[in-house]
Amino acid sequence: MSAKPKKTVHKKKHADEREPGVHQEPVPVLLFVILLLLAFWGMMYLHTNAGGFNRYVYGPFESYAMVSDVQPGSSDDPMKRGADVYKSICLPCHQSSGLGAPGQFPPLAGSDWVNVEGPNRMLRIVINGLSGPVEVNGQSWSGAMPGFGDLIASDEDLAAVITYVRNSWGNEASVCTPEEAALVRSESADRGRPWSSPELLNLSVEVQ
Amino acid sequence: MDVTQSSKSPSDWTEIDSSYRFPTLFLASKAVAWLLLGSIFSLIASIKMHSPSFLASCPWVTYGVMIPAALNAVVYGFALQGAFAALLWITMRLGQVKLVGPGYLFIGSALWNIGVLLGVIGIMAGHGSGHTYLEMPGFVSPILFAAYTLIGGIALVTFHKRQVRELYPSQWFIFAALYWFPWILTAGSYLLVMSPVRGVTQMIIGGWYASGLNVIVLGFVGIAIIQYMLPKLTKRDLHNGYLSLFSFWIIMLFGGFTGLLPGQSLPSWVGSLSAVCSVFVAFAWLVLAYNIYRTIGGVSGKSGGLSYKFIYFSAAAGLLSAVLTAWASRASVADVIQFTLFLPGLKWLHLYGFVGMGLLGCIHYFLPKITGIEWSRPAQWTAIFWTYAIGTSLVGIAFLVGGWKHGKGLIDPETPFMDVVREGIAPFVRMSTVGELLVFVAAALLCWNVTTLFCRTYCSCLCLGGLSQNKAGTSSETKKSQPKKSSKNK
Ligand code: HEC
Repeated sequence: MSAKPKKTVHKKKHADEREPGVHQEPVPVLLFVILLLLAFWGMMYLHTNAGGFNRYVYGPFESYAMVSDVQPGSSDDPMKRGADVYKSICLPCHQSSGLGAPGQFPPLAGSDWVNVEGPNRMLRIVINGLSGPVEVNGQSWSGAMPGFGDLIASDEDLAAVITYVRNSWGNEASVCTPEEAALVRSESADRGRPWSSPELLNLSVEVQ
Repeated sequence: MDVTQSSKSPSDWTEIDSSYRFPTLFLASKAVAWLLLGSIFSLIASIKMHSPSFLASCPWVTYGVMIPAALNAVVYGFALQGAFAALLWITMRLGQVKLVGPGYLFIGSALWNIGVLLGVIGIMAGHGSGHTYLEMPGFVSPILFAAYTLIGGIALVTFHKRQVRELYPSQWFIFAALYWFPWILTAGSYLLVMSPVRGVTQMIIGGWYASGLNVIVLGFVGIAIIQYMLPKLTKRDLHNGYLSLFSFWIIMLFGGFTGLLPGQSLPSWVGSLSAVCSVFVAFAWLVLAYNIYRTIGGVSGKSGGLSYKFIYFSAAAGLLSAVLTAWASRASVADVIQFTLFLPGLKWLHLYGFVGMGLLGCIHYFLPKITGIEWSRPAQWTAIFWTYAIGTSLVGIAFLVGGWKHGKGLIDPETPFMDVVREGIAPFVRMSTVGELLVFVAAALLCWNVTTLFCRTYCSCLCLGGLSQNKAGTSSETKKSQPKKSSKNK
């Protein structure tokens, strides 16, 4: 029991008692400047990388437009969806310009069948087809368009393509809703043959 | 303004320390035992990565079971339990206050260990939930929560009764972690395990829980340890308390949203927001590091002893993991590292490097102080430090570098897949096994040392007039026993 270890023990104990204190100095302004810059950067980063905070935008896509480009027909936007249906069904005849082909397929752009208040007649043309002589913008056509009611199985798609045609290439007409499409579809369920022009002209333009 | 807190006499300190002696020993010895168990599980998993036939016939130790079992043993058994021990100690030292209700703490920590044990057994028996960090079967969460109510409650009451009213920065961090944990535990386990939300939301909540647990709860305890221990060991005062406050609020605000890196099957904005938040957290860490650097700058490492090395390593690993997380969250980087070992590498760096190292440094420092018994073999502690440090670094480097090479190979259509496996994965996986082996050795040594200290303390208490007196802990009795012990030292 020498004195030496006793001293070291005591010293150690004493040193351990000292708890660290803390200096209080103002935070350098530079830190807040950096913080602001970071916040700015963060907003820019989110602007370019967050896909507009849209819940449908997953990586690797950067925006909703990119996502819907690769998702045919499943878009929420009827114009987009209608364009996809148009491309896959109507385009070979009526062309992407909507001008049709001289002597064979009548134009949809500016057509007086398309630019009317309601989509009733147009829906029926697309569902059951149209044949025989028909006058489009004062010009006579005589061909036959088959019905696509079975091919366009979903009412959303049907309504979308009508809406698309009625609002493209300078056309301006009302939107066709899926409910209207469903109603007309059920009315013409057992028709089974194409419409003729006089038959359609007897019907109202609006869906009732 | 300087606050130097040294008004207490040595005998008061011994009284404070002794109030905490057995609860700490209990927490610390169980914590290192869980570390040992976790390192065994993780070693088995690591061996299976390159030798799949190893223990292949036993369903309890398949790779898919060992990984979550190891993670949960280490997170709940070791890291959180060790964090409880460390934060209680820091609370008592800084508040100069005796532990309130050691009996409740005992019950709480026993319950906690039962909960973790049931959870790990549940995972091994195949009842894991499949949500990272919340793999334990649903019935375990209420047990853990009840245990935590006792442990956290004791910590809060002790904190409340502190004699030194001014707060040291470490105390804010501890206080926030104490409140944050029950909140994420209940919300997380309710929404994911008990009555699961649907689809994508599960991943978002899982990521929120993971980052809350890592960055805020464990991270804050780790930061509290670094900010307390480094100035203490170097006998300095913290450079600037307001810098700590600055970092504190930034991590509080952004830390919870850093767990969802881009490249997961989540809407882009989630990953991008997470990326921005992790950059903020990295910034807060740089500020913290600067504060620490200004505090301990110019001190030679030797003066702080071995504990200093532990904590220094912990601080470096914490900074590195925060910066790497921010870097990895860039969309261009995330594209490379997804589906590789890079993210497990980050997790490892954070959990073993930063949190684990800090806790071990703390245990090394304070167990002899509060028991009044020195480590019997200091050389073994040096060995523990080096094996653990080298092992952890090896695993971290293997996963991070290997993950990066692996990812680079995967996204390059010219490289055949088997080449990626041969050059990008296999050598690094072997390297990580060596690292895990070292960690296992360190954990075994650690367990041995802490357990012997526990036994020696227990025996010395029996010699000094019976355990019962000491446990009763009235001041007169403790004081009576104290001179005897110091006379032994003399
Ligand atoms: C096989 C070629 C063909 C396809 C495909 C086709 N049509 Fe037609 N369409 C015609 C022909 C031919 C007529 C004129 C029928 C007549 O002369 O009786 C016509 C007439 C029309 C008319 C009325 C006249 C006009 O120009 O306004 C509309 C409206 C119309 N089609 C819309 C559509 C839509 C919408 C689609 C796609 C869902 C479509 N068509 C697909 C050939 C086609």
